[in-house]
Amino acid sequence: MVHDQSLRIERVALLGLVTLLGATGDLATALAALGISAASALVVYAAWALVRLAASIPAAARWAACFAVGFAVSWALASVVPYVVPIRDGAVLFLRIAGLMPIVYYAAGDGATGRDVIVSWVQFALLMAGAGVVREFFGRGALLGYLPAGSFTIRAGFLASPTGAFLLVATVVLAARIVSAARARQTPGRAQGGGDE
Amino acid sequence: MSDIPRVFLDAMLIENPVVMTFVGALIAVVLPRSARSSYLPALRFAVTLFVVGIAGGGIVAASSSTAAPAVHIVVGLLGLGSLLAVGELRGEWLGMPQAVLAMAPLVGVQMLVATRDDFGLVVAAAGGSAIGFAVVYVLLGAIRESSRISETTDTFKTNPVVLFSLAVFAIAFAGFLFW
Repeated sequence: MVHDQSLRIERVALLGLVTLLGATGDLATALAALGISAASALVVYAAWALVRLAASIPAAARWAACFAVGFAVSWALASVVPYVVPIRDGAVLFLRIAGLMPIVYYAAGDGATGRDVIVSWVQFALLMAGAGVVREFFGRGALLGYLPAGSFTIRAGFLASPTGAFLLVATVVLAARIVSAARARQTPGRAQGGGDE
Repeated sequence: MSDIPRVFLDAMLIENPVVMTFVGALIAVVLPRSARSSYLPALRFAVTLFVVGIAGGGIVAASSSTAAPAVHIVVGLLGLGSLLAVGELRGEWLGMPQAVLAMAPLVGVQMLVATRDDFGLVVAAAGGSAIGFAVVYVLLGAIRESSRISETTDTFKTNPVVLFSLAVFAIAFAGFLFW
């Protein structure tokens, strides 16, 4: 269990890394990916609770069943979402595999408490929405496809690109580490964040 | 340039499954600990991605799209089983089996490859993706190792360095264009 919220952000960024990198090019896609991930996680947890009842099923088979369920949910929802929300062509791949990200299976793992899972999902939602806003507003000069009223932006196209995705996530992880280290200095005896896990 | 070498180079560089197309980014960020210890895992992952890409991508490219998700997940799980059989992904990661790291690349590479409409292009794309993955996997192992033994504070070691390095790779790979 992670007590330091700053360090938890790094874990959450890694748990949902592929979705965070691939589906945050604009806010609408980011919110769609978040919804698909959350729906997949709910169904996977329900499936996990069911298969856990059958003690005779080996752990590998349980996880395989959960992977299949998670992928089926995200594929099905990703097939519907483009009719509701404008999704860029390249992002559909990431919506379809959103159900295979570790964040979806985090609640079924051994290491997380209920509170840990909920806080992680709140942070993941904030990361997805924040990355979507930053990358669309600064990268494309718009928000949800529209120029915000009264605003004026000079587009920084790299933020909408894969380079911008990596830079944004790396910056968040580094910022979390710096905050954690600063807190550790203020609180003697508290472990400093970072290093190899 | 003819189609097959172009697709191969595109898949290895511009559409590399770690850097520009992301599907293998997590496993490459998390698993490799050093360059030397990464060679064999990189080879195993590359061979598996190649076979899985050809099998899943080839079947989907040649058949109806309605069966695609079933094909992708079955082939992905078979690929995962083969990786486990050769000794990869045996440990845990954040309370989950490490296998959870591999499903996205195993399924994602099939989906990337399946967009090709000719079997020769499917093989070229799967080969390029596999080699591109292996190269970046070893590179990230080296970067992680060098950051871990550097003299800076723990704050700046490992994950931030690896992610910033991927941003630099993305800039470099974006510079390639094959006609």
